[in-house]
Amino acid sequence: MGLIQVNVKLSDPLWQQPDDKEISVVLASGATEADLVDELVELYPVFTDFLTDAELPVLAIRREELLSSNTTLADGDTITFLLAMTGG
Amino acid sequence: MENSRPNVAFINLSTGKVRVERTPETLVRGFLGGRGLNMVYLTQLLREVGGAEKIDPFDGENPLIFGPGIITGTNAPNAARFSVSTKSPESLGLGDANCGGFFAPALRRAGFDRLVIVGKAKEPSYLLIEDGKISLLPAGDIWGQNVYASQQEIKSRHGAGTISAVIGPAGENRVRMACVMTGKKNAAGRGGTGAVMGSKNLKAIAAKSRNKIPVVDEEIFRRVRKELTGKLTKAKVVQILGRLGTPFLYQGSNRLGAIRTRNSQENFFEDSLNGEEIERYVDRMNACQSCVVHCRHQNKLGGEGPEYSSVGLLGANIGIADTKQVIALNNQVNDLGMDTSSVGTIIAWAMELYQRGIIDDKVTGSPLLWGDYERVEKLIDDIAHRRGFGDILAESSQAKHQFPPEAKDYLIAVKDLPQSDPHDVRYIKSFALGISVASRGADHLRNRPTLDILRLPDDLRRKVYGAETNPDPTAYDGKAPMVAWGDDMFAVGDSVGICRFITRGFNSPNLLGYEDFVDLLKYGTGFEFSEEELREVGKRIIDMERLLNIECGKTRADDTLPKRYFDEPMKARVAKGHHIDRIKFESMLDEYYDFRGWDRQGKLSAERMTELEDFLTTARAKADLITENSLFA
Repeated sequence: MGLIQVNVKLSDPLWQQPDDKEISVVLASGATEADLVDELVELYPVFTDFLTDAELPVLAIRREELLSSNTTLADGDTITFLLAMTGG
Repeated sequence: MENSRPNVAFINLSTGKVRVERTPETLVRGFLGGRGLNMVYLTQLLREVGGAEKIDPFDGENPLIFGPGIITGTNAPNAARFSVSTKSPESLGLGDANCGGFFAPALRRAGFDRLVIVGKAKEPSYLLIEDGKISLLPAGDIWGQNVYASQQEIKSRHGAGTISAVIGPAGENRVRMACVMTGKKNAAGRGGTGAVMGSKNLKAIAAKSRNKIPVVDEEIFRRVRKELTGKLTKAKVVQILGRLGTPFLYQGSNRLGAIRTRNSQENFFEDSLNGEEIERYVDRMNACQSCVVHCRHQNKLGGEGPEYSSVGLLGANIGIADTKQVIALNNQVNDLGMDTSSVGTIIAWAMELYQRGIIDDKVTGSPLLWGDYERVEKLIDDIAHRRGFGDILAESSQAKHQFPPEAKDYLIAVKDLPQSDPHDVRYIKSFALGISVASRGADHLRNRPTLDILRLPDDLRRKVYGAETNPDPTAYDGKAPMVAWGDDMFAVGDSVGICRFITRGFNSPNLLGYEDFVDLLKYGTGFEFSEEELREVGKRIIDMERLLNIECGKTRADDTLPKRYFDEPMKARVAKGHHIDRIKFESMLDEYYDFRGWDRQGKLSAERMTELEDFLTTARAKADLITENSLFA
């Protein structure tokens, strides 16, 4: 099975330490956004609250595209996660 | 259970007459307090002085109403809010601004639940409200002082525990975007309420008392309060806002391509204004009275804030990328007593007009270039003191009458109120509908359907909104119920006296809703409502505001958007290509009017008019007098 490398960027306040802001994740070829979320939760339990909590949904962006959970990822993709809060 | 009706003090600064009445029960049941009751009195009083459209906002007869929420000051969570209402000198329509801090609880402790102020003092003055007594005192030596200094001076005169709502130099000079302020940053910001206060020669209202605000059933109210506080402090939204405040919202909006940049010519800006950069200048988080969130930054430059709106509008929107400079401008605007949203929007407007050659150095006095911090810092001071080009911009949207006709095409405002928030609404269509119909003008706090970005499941959306809606934020149909729901919920929240950050629908489908307000009202005031009755109160407040706007001369044509939002697609990022289609917008507006029960011109039904007229008649009747005396006694 092939593998892909995906770069992940985390917006305020999803990153907990400055080192978490940009990380690389290796996934199986054909992985989806949902697979990436599962992998992040596995690798970085500190993200669990945000990435799996329905109360505070997180949006995933690839270049100019807003992803859904079943969007297939490609090798070299940069995925930015941001918290779905717009009111302030 | 017996109920406790709020009182209202009618104060005439010209004649000195003060008449205190008990608010009729019908009005309380119809409109609660805060914003709701303010709207009834404002509509009626403007009729009595010749009509809302005719009266000049700076005429002494224009009422200036300070209305705490019906449970403000009771220590219910975040129950510190008050509304300041008047005919707006900025929009020339409904003027209403909401504010937190400590002033409104102090006013209620001092014995007054609403102040309706008309007339004009003979000289610069301030009102002192202390243990049931209202006095008018000279303010000649405070006139000219900035916001914070004037509050400190008043406190030094009357002692610790004296809390004031004041105007800064901007209000004194009738700058149309001047606010009423309390503390360093709490602002009744929108619509120029501070300018109206300045036109009355009124520098401040100071309140002082050690009294407690009574609640009807102390034991159960305490239990309800504890339960709600426990629920709220567990909510992630509350935890995040308490830790980071609102500046963190900038980065997400920026990644989407939804930050108003250079007067919305572009839609994203520098990462130098991200929340983590702002955090480097933060000392600690402050709170309003009884607040469980504590979202307000105390910054290292001597002020408070900035909020997300200020970061965007005094940063990206005018091309300033330096974090420290944006915070400094935020502090400057607050201390002069102006609305950061209007100031940032109007300066950006002027910058684009200069960029396009529509105005030049003969008008501006010197170059007005994007990102020129020193120029902006001086211009803000000039606006507050009405000097040079600042005198023109002090007119806010009304400056369009002094510019060539094409200038209005670049103004980012609705109903002549500059847009409040830094979020470019061309991408999320419900946000666009929201600011187009918001009763005070282009404002995100009246009805912002923040849940639209969450793509909630169908059954959850049905449960929240009670209607079918469309989960696609870029769709036009199925958005009216979201905006109308926000209208009603937030109108009730403002009338109860509760902060938006713990109100359901603002960032979370959880938080406090009608069922919680029912309990707070029952055990706090004795007034019993069902959830459905409370939602009806919200609808009634919105309809009263619609009536007032109609009487100010506003029509369907005013429920629109800036020309740029229709004609220019956004340029970059996720939002690239999005704009508002005019035909689809009109359909969305039709759907909203239908949902509200208005005709296709946005007018109220005959049945609703009859009902509102009954309430206005009750407001007109002089009844339930408590005391009548003079300020000059």
